[in-house]
Amino acid sequence: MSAPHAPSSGKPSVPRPPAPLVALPEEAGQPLAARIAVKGSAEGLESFDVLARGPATEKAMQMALSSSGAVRAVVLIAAMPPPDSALVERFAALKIPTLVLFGTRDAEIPAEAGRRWRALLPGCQIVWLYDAGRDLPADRPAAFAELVLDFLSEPAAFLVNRRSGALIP
Amino acid sequence: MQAALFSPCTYEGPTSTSGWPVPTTVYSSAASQQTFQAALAHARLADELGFDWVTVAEHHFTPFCITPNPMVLAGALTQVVKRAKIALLGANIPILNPVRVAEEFAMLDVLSGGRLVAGMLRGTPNEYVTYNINPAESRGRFEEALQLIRKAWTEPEPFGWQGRYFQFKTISIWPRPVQQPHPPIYMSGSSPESGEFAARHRVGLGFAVTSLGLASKAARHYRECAAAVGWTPRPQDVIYRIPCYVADSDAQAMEDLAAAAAAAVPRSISLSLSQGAESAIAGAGYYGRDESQRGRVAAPFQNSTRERIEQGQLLLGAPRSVIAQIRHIHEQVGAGVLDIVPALSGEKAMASIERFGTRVLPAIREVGT
Repeated sequence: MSAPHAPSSGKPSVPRPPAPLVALPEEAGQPLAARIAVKGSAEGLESFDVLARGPATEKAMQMALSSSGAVRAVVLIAAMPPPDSALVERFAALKIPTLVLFGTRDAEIPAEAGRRWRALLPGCQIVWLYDAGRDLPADRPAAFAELVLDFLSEPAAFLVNRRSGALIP
Repeated sequence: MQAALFSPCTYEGPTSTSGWPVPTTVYSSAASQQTFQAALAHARLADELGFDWVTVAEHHFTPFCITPNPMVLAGALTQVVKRAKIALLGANIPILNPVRVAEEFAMLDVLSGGRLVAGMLRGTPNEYVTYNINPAESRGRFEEALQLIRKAWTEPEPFGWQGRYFQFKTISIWPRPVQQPHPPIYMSGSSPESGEFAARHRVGLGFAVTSLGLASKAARHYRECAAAVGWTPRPQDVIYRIPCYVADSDAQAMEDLAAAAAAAVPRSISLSLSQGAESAIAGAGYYGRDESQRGRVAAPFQNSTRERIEQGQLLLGAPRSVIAQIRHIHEQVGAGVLDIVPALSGEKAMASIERFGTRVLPAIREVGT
């Protein structure tokens, strides 16, 4: 067996070097802090990922639009599409890899949340974090961190399990 | 009351009788084929007689029930049973891939034209040995799998699931269930925890290998929990499974049962593990808060025929007697679906199903209405 990240054929896929992660608001990145350097602002960064929670979604989209290609990937947590449909449309046109996360116990997120997002951002990945409420990073920190790190390490390969399934070598 | 006929697919050939898992060193493939043909014949007859449901179950590594994948038998039933609902009780969802279960259930709902009843069970303790799953995680896996299956049925856009026991990057099942938003869900409900979960998630409850005392207590708990979250289960939300043999007279029924017991090829009906394995499963908290659940699987087979009838573990006698026994069960448990298991095999089973359909079923229709 080859290394877990190398596909069995074709061009070797190299995970991206970690990019700075800008968390909006700041506490959104707290459980990730031990594993990823988290910054509260994008100031001085050439390239970065954005993590935004709830109402910060709008700010994340504005940041992506105003940073001329610096935003590499976006993670939205417990968020519904912002009411400014022109903003969402312009953000969608950027085609930035976007992961949208909901907690299955979050009473404020309707069952059709995934449909609402996919209608506006057809390329986005929807993931339900089982047994998490509104505060996903606090409710299931390890599951949250594993998912976000997996997505950010290689958004284009997100759907592909790149871990070894061998139980015993 | 509605009536269901359970096809346990108990293998009728020669076998060893030792514990579980049962070896196949003594085995007849002809007997296995005969078992499935009999099950299809029973279901066809039940459908023609007006039974409301036919039911199948999942067990592994045992001649007691040779449907380790009940979906396969249910697929065959969709082509034989034209009118009755087809109930899987269960799939043992904690030991399976929940996405696969959602897909197979949806296929069955399409093949049957919307007649699927989706039972989702934890299964007997031995099933955790079958697929090498830690029984301590049974309840957690069950609760997560049920919610994932429901999501897979109802979510039209691809979605991922970051669970505790199950992880999928993207799910978008084809075909979709015919019944909307999804087929009716039932779970087994003997423990207090199960009743609470069923009430919270608004799913039906089934009782099998139980007694009137245990089932009435559990059904009461389920209704109280449902009331607490603002809904009232309908009679058909509770299933009661029970072995049944209807003869022309009580005396004949007793005689046939005794003769069958004496003549029967010894066969393992046990799903019991070794003492050590059983203790490990109990120690893992498999039985939940109510320890009386432990050992209930073996208990009915140790009781006398009279005790089994009194405790709601056997329907036996002339049609009139069986009707009275069913009324008593309904009064105690409030079950709206009676799932009968043929207590005898072969011609006797067919005759009993026929008597039940023509002389018992019409009389129990108004029970509980």
